[in-house]
Amino acid sequence: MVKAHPFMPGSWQTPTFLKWLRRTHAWLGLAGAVAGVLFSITTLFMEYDDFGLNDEAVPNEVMEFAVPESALVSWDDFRAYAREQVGARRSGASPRNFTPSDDPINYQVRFNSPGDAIDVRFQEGDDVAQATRTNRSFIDTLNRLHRAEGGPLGWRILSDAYTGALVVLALTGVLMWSRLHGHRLLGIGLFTGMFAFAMYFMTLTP
Amino acid sequence: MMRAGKKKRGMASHPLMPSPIATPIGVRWVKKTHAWTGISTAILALIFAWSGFMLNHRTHFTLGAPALTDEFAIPAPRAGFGSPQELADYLVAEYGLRTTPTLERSEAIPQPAGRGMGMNQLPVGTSPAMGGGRRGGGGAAAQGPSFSASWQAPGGDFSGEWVVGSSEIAVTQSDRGFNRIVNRLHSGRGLEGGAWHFVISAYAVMLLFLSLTGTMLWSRVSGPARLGGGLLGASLLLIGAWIIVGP
Repeated sequence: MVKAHPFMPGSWQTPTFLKWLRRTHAWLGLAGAVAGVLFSITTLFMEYDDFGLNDEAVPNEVMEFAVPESALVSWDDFRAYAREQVGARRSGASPRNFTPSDDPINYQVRFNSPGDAIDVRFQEGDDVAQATRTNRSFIDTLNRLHRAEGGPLGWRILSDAYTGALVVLALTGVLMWSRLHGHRLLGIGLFTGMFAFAMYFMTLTP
Repeated sequence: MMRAGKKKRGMASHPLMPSPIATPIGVRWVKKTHAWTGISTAILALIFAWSGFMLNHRTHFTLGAPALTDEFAIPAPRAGFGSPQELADYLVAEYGLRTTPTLERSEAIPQPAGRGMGMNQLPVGTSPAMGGGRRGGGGAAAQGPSFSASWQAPGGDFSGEWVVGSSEIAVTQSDRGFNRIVNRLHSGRGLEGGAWHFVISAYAVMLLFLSLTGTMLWSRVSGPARLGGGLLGASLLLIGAWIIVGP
């Protein structure tokens, strides 16, 4: 028997299951379409140096504020105080590769978001704490969303959902492949060709 | 009459498709190209989705640690090396390395900064350090000027360092676990030459195409047009919100 959907097991090919497949693919696809555009465009930005659109320097704002003794008991106290001073919504974190020290005092806090970051630092002997705000350009912001840098947990969950959707879309898409689309051998050829190509790179050693 | 009626129904069945494309030939073409693009990139979707998830949680998963790191020293030739290139040539002859090395000439360092091997992040503005940073210092004590050559590939790294005048070459060899390999493929790090970068770019273009044609192919079978369009708008707004939200 000639199957309408050559990559789908014969027993699955019932009208109900096909309808379910189409609907799942359609809803997940539409929900992920904006993410698909975002992730693919930022991939091109990152691969091609933002097409030269992103070379203007972004000005930084610097502000200073005095730090009372009570905010210098621990890094955590400093973090809470700095948050109040700069008006950050996030609770703030220690920058990567930085370990705060109490003696001598060396504190750094970073309040991060995809679009902006505020870095606050205070060292033993400083009169005031210095906060530097980095405003990132729109393209930078998109790229950072792609890399989940400075993205809050909600964004991570959303992009996780997208990775899950992408897997389901790939699988349901292959299942739904039909003879109307073209010859199945060519379909198999393209799929395995890409698989072999990816495998080559996966097994590449220095 | 029948024909006209059919055609009209055909158009309405894809409410999100721009009307100039929504002809029977247009719909057929969009369906076919969507299907062909989809099946060509299905395996890439799986690779990028898996590695994307892993990279998304790169601070939490230790699955990405190198499967095996080996550090040892081999005797250096008596004559030493005049440049990092000579060191690289020697290591290529010894180990049959295939990729192009990164050469470095370091000045004398009094106290090298110890850097973790895994998830160190480069400063803002440089490319993200996804899956393994460069080994700086390697825990060595103060030392004189040195030459180093390092090779990277998705499947592993190889590096050799020779302190000028010493009798040994310090070699670090690491093999990577599956996650690190796919993470490298995802971010294109350690992949010289254009072939894989072409795949990344081509996949990006195809994903863009799939997203757009997929939206157009939204049909009555999938669900009501308003609900579909609403979902599309909602995800656009949600992503817009993350862009605007401040620190």
